[in-house]
Amino acid sequence: MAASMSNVEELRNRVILNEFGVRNVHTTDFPGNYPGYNDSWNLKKFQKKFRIDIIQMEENSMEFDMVGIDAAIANAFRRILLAEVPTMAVEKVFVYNNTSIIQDEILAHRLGLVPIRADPRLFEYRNAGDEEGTEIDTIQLQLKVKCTRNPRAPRDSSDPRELYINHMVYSRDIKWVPIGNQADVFGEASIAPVHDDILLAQLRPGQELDIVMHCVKGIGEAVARVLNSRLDTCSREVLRHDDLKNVVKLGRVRDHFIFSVESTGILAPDVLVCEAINVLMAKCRKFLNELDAAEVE
Amino acid sequence: MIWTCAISLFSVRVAYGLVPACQWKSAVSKCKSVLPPLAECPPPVFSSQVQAEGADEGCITFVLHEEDHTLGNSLRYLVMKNPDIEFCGYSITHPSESKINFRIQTRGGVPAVEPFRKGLNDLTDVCQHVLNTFQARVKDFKGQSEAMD
Repeated sequence: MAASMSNVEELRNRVILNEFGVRNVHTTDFPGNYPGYNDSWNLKKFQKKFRIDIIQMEENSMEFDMVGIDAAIANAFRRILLAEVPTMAVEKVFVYNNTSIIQDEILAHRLGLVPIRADPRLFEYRNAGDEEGTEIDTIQLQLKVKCTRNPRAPRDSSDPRELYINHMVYSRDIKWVPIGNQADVFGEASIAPVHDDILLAQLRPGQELDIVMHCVKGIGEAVARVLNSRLDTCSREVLRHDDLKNVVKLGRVRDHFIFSVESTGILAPDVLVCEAINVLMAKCRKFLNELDAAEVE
Repeated sequence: MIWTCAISLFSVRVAYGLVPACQWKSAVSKCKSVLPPLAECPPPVFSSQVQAEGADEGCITFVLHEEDHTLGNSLRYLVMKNPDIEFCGYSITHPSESKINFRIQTRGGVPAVEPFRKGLNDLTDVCQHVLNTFQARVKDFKGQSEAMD
């Protein structure tokens, strides 16, 4: 960073952090705002300036930097990652028998939150109004657990693990019921909850659960955070010291973003990011098609 | 009661002062808009309605359904990068309705549909480039970490 950045450069490129506020947040480099600068959109200039640096990548999380892109577009990616990447999740829960102490709706709510390992790209959206669901848009899962007393428990034990059989219902008890040709397409055991050990309910002897669930494709979940300024929390502590206050200027580069993506396990994080970018492209394409259709009329 | 203001971003051109005579009228009440059916998991259903004000094709308000800041802000940024644009902004009419009013006003008699279309194309190009760069970097990174193992 240059020691003395000209004022204009600073206005264009930096977000300034003052003691009591943040200045210069919005992008101002639009055509006509700065005399002598040509700010109209130039794809080649963008392609030259843009870069992505991957800092780390693991099975379920990754961290990467995007440099040279505007906040509006980076934020669009973040919003799509959080809310608009499709996944398969339990939507309808058919409760045939629930004599446990957990109410039907609470249990259904918990089941809806369990991530299901099924690649959403292999499924279609269910048509509106379709109650039954077909093999291309629905996964059927079953949860059938009955709790019984353990006849072999020691006489005076009070540990539920010894006294009862099946008293904790985990997500590993959810079984996949293939419909149609799903068994051939997906192989025997490949569709199941991502995590085995999510506790769904607790039972006591005589209580049972007999539930069938339908999973459909919908807007799913990941965790995405966007930070700014790599590894520099830009603490404003220095502004508390009066003698330093006027000498130090804290600024952040406006177009450098750190993405930290954590996946729920259904899709790998790099696949999630690619899907998010595809979603944004699909939105644009849909509107372009609408425009073309409107023009033909 | 908290007044939730419809968010509108005005990017006014500093160097050129004149605002054309076109009025900013809310297009919401006049729109013959078709609302997409309420499904449990709606597939992305879009519809846009073009409302041209008066005889001047340079000022148009587009009503984009099932959209929010995600597309609105990024599209606004790219449309503003066009030197023909006098005004570009978007607002969310009401937070309970998922639609945005996207307003474009142009200078020099350019029909406003053109910068809108150009903005969409530019956004597609940006996404494509980001996707290509990202995939290339992921491949390099994976290749690198395999080489080190």
